[in-house]
Amino acid sequence: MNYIGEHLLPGKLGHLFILLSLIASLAASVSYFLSVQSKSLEQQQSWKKLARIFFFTEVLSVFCIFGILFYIISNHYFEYKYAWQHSSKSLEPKYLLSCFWEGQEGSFLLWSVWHCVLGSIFIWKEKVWEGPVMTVVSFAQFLLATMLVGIPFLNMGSNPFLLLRNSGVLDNAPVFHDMAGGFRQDYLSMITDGNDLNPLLQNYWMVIHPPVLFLGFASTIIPFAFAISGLWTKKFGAWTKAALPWALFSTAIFGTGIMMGAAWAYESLNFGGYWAWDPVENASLVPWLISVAGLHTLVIYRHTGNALRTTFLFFILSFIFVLYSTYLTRSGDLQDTSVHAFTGEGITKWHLRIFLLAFLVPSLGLFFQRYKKIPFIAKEEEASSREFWMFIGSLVIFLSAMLIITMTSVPVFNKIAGLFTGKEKTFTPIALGEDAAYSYNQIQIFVAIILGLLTATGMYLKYKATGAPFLKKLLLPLVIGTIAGIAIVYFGDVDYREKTAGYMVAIWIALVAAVFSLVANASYLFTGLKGSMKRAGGAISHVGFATLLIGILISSSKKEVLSYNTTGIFMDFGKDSKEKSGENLTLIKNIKTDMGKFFVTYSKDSTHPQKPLWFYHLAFEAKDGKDSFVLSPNAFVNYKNQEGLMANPDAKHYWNYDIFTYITSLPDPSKNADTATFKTVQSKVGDTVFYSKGFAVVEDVASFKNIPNVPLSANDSASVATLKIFSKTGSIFTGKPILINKDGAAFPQTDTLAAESLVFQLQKVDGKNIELGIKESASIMQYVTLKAYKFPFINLVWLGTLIMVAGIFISMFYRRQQGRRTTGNLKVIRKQQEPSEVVS
Amino acid sequence: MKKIHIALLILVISGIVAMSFFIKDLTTQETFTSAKERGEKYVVVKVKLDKATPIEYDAVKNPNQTVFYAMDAEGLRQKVVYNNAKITDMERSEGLDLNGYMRDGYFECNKIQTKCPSKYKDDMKAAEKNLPSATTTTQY
Repeated sequence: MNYIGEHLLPGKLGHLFILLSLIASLAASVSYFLSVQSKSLEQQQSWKKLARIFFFTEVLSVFCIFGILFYIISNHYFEYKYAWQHSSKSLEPKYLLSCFWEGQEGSFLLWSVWHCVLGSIFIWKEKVWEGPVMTVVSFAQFLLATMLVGIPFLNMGSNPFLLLRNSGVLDNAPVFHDMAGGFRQDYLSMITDGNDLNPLLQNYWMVIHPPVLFLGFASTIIPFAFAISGLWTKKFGAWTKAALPWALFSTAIFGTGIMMGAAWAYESLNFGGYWAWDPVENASLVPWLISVAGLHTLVIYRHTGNALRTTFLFFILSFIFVLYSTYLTRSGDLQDTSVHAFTGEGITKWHLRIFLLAFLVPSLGLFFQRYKKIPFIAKEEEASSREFWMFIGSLVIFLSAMLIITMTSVPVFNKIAGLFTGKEKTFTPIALGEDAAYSYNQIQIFVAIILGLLTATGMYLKYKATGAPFLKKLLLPLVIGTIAGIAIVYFGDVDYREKTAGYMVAIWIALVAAVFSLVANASYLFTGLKGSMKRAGGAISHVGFATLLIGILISSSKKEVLSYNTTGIFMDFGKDSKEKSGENLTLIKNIKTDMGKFFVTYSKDSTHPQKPLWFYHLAFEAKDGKDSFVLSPNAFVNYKNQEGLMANPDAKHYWNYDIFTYITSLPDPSKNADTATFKTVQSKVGDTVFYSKGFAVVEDVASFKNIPNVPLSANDSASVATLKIFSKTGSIFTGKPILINKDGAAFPQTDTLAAESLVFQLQKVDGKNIELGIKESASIMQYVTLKAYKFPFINLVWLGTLIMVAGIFISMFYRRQQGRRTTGNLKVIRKQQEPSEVVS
Repeated sequence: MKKIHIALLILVISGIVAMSFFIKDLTTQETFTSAKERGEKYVVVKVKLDKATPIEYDAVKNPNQTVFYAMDAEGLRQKVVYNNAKITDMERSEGLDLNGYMRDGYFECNKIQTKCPSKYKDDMKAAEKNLPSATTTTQY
């Protein structure tokens, strides 16, 4: 049967290319495998030729799949489930690409595309290692292709070209069916628009962050494949020179991708920050940390011949943990603990587990089988040598990664333990404690201290052994760094008292260490390298790392909550002080509200022309009158039949801090606007004041000197009026509006009686005579509830990342150049450059 | 013993110390009844929201308190006080993980993990609602 308006050709072509890519990638891995295993050079060459044909067929197919899927999405062919599920006609063109990575299929496709790009560059540039490395890459491509084939009866993979009418979504919708139960021929005319992209992903970071992060994920396969090649061909040390620039590239891109994710989280999620130790974040951080560790051990090996075994292990584990992270974040097993883990829809848990095991078992098996044969240096490193401390640093990074992934894997442990417990419950599932972020921080702060100190001193050490004169160069940076660090702690008032004193001291030490590291590495650029930019990559990336560390430490420990609630808690003077005041503050429209160092007025709201996206204009005025600005956090309200709101924060950026706010709650928008104003009534204690639905008796007026969260000086005063409100319905309420006289100005704090739609304001107090403002609102008033924070020096986090990445890229270009030069003068430098040959 | 072995030993020990700090912070998943037995201990209780009782949240009165009722795995209904703004998609949730303390007569929590809303599966369900059929189901 033909259905009206369907475009079936792209889907058929797409499916064809999926099958082609599956077969071609399998053929490419087999051919490449045989090209390595063949004895004769002739056979090797012919297998390699064949493998290249297969690989480029694969590349072509993957690009066609990508192109066809984009064509479907951008033409709004909603007969395809992927387009219908992830896009809509109102979606801005710039977000059409983001639709790709919203779904499982698209993001695996993206991964596959990057493998193709990297593989093609590899074939072009690295002739020597093509065979074994491309075997691994092609095999990974084969496994990725199985994710897309979509063979329903095997429950294997999920085809992105699935038609909506075959997906089951429409099955329960009788309107699409004719009398016989089949689909109506014109069913497509009733599907006018798609389901749209998740509003949280409608952010420019979501256009750029996933491709970069996936390039990071994908690129870890190259160092991994190099390591496997070394083990496989038993040329244990020879791969390291070619692998170093690739490892640097991978680390730089991967790091950029992670921090772009942090920037996205900061700008459009409501973590209240850029990092929350969320499992999804941890899952990408851990393989990156391992690849950083591997990078350092690789450099050690290149210079001294030590640490080859560790390098093998780290590069293997880095990729294995990319796969483990993929399993964690996409299988749905993390659902309980993460704000944004994917469910197991589309691609099954077992498929992801097999993907992991297909690499884990052979690679670690090969590693342990060959372990004894990997050359090593029996002689011990000098304690004054650079390689010794670099190695320690790498181990610390690795250990830190292992601790993070262990903590992240708690749901997995529960799952595994659950397998062994029968009906009688012997095992109670575990969960992270009260302050999960602190669980991480209290451990990682010590990692920060060690890494700060190691990066500060490491550059001043020499390979093999360091003489005393060289160490003397460290003296000046040490003195300057320590003094500067202590000054920042002291004058910057870095007092983090929410946890233990030991933790605060640890933050201080970490900060001093980070500042020391910054000063030491910056001055090393001049004293150690004499300003030679080419070789400065290491020092520059350490400057970046130190800056990042300083940014993290200051912005987290000095983060201030501006929206400490004063209106809600104000009424409960009797409450015991250990009650934590909340971070949510409600702003009633057009009422100036006291918020930390600011007065904030919720002045108006506006809406997006095409979407149910509302912007709330909040006018901030600093109390000292020096600053005023408007922030417009926004929220999707009742988006696409989904109840509730999805809020995006807004921030005001200064060079040294950000003011950051987001909406946490809104009144039901269907209610009418509040147009009522305050009516002022003169009264005194004992008087009765009437309103439309009852009356209020002024019971008492009292002044006091202490209010929680508001520091009052000797000249300031505060008064509270106690009102007993008798409504017509017979209910009796109490109201306590407050008037604060502070620095010669009066700040009335309203009290609201939502049940009666009443707002009281104490406007003036003169002994027992008062002026009372009464506002009656025909509807529930308009308000927004928000949280607001101040993040000092958050820019250091971004700046540090940029410098670090730039440094790694400089190293990469230097190492590539070095690689080219050494092939020219192979014989001369051979002895230094290929230490493994000497050792083994 | 080589220096590196000493360093390794120190690292392993500090790793174990770090893990023990972490394990000390770990808590367990309980039901309301077993949470009560644990007294003042911080626990996690997996519950389902009692959708029959409305969620009490008045942002104007106190934006930092949400009160609702929930049933745990054993079906016990309990009052829950959440010291924060109401989670916006709470009504749609299939399950809630309450993190907090069992108090006298109510469960006080400072962290809630909601299961499913805005994740893909539910997006599909919500999306199905957007199909024209949602308004014409009476045809059946």
